[in-house]
Amino acid sequence: MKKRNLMYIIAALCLALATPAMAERYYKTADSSGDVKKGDKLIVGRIRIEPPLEPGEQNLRSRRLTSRDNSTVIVPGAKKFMNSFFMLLDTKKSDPTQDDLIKNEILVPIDETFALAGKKAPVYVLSTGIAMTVTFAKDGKSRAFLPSGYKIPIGKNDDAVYIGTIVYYRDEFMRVSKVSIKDEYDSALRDMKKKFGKGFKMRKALVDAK
Amino acid sequence: MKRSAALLIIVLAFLLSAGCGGGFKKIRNPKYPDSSLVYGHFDISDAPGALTYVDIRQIRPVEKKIRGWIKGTYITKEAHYFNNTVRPGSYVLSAFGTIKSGFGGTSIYSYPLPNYGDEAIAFRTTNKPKLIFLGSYKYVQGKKGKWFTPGTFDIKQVNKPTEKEVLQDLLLLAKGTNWEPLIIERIKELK
Repeated sequence: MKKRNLMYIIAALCLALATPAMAERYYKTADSSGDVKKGDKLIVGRIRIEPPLEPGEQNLRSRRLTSRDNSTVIVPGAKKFMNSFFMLLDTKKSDPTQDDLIKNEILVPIDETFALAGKKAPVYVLSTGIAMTVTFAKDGKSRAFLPSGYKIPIGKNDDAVYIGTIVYYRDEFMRVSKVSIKDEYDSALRDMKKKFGKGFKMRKALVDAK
Repeated sequence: MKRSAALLIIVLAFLLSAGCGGGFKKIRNPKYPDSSLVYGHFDISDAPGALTYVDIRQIRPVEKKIRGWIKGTYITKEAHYFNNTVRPGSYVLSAFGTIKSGFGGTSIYSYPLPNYGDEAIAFRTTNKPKLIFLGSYKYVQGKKGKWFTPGTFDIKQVNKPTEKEVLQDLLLLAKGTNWEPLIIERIKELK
């Protein structure tokens, strides 16, 4: 075995051991009625960035770490982060740790209506962002974090709430200059009826994520 | 600005064949007429070795094949770094590190920096060549790492060396080049 190939394997093993399996806490993504358990509430919304990602801007393929180091970073499972935001929800507002994020994050598609199913209310979005590239960080990803820490106003009596479309205006360094909330209730409702049936209803409860 | 350190210890000397190079290079004439000269300083006296490399990553234009750094960044004996081949675009400082040689071979200590957000050390260059100072920073060690658990480190911006002091050192490396009058002019501006 060539020495360089050996280094590829070492890098992959290190990251595989350092990267625990993702296990959503409290809420998980729901794409059909089969994903919703009895008593679950649904959070419906959409997130996008302006301008959108350029082709190749998010790149989670393996690569060499630095200019002085020939080992290649291979991150198992990194590709599932493509075209997705990671989110971390919790029932109380706090500063999440990196471990907390890695263990409990949820992935939602960029600029598509998503639904999250769970039982807790209310909940806070502690962290949101995009895994942009692979790196030799603890979980093997270089992340761009977006402003978060807002409350999702879902009540104990709600079955489903619509939180709006959160738009982050950013520059090429993912520095956010403005956050706006757009009300796209009608199109979100159409999307949800396709997933959960014609009788689907949701209460409008736009978040204050600014 | 705490972050986990990618403490990569590789006890294989053959790995030192990478492309950026190191050593104390002289500043050459710009390869392209739109190249800018980017420079700064990293005090990593608390790290296991001397500053060996600094990586500048290209953010715009988006790289077709991600490499993670641009070529041509060199370190001086004063722990300044410079790159005089930075084409028009957007860039961040992506990592710095040290390479320590010993009896067992060579260890590489890599310290990744945030590539995105307000903490990124970011800059833009245009078609007009210019001198860009990225600041002086000091490495501060945090928790020590263990196997599979990287340690932590921080960097803090410091006042010394000043841009003028860095440029005075770089001027000695740029004698007779097109950069020399630009550096002299900038030093005068900083008086």
